[in-house]
Amino acid sequence: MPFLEIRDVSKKFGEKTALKNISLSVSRGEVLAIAGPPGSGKTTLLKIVAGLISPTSGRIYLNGIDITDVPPHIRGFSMVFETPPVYPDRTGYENIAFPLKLKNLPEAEVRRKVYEIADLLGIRHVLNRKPSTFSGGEYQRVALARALVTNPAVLLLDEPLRNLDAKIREYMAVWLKQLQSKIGITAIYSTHDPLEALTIGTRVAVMLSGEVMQLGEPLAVLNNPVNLDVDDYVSIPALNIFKGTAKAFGGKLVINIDKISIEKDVGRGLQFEEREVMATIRPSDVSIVKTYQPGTLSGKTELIQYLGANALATVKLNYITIRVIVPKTVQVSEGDSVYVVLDPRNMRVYDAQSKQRIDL
Amino acid sequence: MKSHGTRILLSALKYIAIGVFVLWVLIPVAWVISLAFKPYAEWRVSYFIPKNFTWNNFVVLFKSEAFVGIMGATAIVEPVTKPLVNSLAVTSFSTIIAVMIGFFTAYGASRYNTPGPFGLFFTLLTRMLPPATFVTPIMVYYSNLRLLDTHFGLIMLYSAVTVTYGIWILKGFIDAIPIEWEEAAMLEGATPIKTLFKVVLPIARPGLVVAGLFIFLLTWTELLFALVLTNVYAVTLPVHISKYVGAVGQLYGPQAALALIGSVIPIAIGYAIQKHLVTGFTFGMVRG
Repeated sequence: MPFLEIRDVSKKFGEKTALKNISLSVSRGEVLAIAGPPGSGKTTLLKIVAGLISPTSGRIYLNGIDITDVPPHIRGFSMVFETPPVYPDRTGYENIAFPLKLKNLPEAEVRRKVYEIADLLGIRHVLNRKPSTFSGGEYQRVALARALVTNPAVLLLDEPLRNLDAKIREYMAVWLKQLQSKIGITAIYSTHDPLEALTIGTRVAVMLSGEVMQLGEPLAVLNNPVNLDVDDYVSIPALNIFKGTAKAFGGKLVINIDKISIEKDVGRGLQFEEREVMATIRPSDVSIVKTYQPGTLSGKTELIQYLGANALATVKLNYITIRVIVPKTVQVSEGDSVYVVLDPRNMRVYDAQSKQRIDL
Repeated sequence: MKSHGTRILLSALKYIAIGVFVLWVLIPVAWVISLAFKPYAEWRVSYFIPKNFTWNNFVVLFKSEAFVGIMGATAIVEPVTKPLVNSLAVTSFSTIIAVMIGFFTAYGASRYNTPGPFGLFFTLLTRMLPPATFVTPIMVYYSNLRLLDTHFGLIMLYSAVTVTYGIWILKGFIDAIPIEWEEAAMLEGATPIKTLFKVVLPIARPGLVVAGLFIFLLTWTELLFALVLTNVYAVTLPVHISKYVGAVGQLYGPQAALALIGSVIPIAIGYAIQKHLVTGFTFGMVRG
């Protein structure tokens, strides 16, 4: 029996559907990451689990007990919001102690618990300071301390790192993951950043426009997206998507994109007539070489973007434009003639209408 | 490229313009201060520094006899103690009432969208009409309700006409408080009422102070309503100030002295609470 179960939850705001038949379960001690672009319904779902919003239909179970109509404060969950609840008019200590004081715990116990959690999160030095003096990371950790101090059954994290700048976000994501494995708390973590979700989640649910499109282990989601939208969402930098046709027969899948024809080995069972498809390949799965080799496609680099460890080149082939990750060791500049290496094994093919994966 | 001379000229013109404006604002204030310390003989002369400095204008204010006379100028005026206490009491109570009602209304408007944008806008109605248009009907009602010349009547009227400022100023502050901050408290076991008092109210404190100071100043200086609705018992400071210059006498000196006392009080209050005006404006801020 799952620890927390979301069963067939839908939510409508007036005519607008925010969530459509969401079913998810979380086992004890697991972190379920919900990844989705802004506006996909992540916050609504977390607020429904927390009890701050009631679902239009569907139920929430905790340990098999229906808690859909249980008011939020009885559920014993905590939530860290995108705007973390750290009140500016009181010190770090007062902020962390706030939920304990609401429960009328004796002063000594409040003090002991606040110091215990502050030590665990390494924020003892901010206890006597006002939030306006906190750094971004301290601010988030105070919010987290406040959420953890009540020892919640489930911790709901709604884009907790969104307002941090890139470097601190990266550091905090790893820190959070380590903290979670140390204290073993059950958590649902929502984020708009697919890589953050893959880093933190034991399992990842990709949520697009109010629906869970794919649920699975981080690597499975990354390597085997079920449809074009998931592939497009998890690919960073943005996916190369080509319109074309494809047919499959006798263990071969032939993809035609304009004048380019690519053959991919597939299972012998796969067979279909020529149909319209969307073929995709991630920029990191394409490479370029500077001298001609058989099987490469000639083109001209139009644009170079620097990503840090490597660069992203936009290469114009005859009729199509493709984005390629170029390692540091390859020197290319804008306007250079290059040859693109497309490995058919890295290409994924989706039906043009249904957007479902068809090359497996 | 402008020449050195042109730049000096432009800069000089700028300072002259600023100087003229400063004088425009400050001369009346300087005039009142100067007059408050001048003896009778100097009240109508144009220089600012009194030749014979005197505290007499202040002393006269607190004399208990009904008939106040300084040499040639006379007026029948009561001592200033009662109007001063009246003004402090009436202004404080009506400010507190207006701010508290304003806070709760603003919270409802901000979080539950009551009474709707139209209703909220029309709370401003009491400030759109010139007070002179409705002071007469109010006088008639007050006369029937036996509220004329009472503190209670003034407090009711003042809090009613200023509550709209409380609503509008505080709505801005409450709108800036993320709803998540309240939801977190609710998750942790706070009832909606507790959330309002333990989360929203303390965080909105700078707003309460701003609205309070603004309403206090408006009420403190209000003349028309008090002039019409009070007579003996509930006379306020502005009404009392106006009594020193009337048909029977022109006591400019004591009038200026009282005006000075009447200005020092709000200045002192404003100064005392200024730290609340500055702190707390940074909420909602998350830094990277």
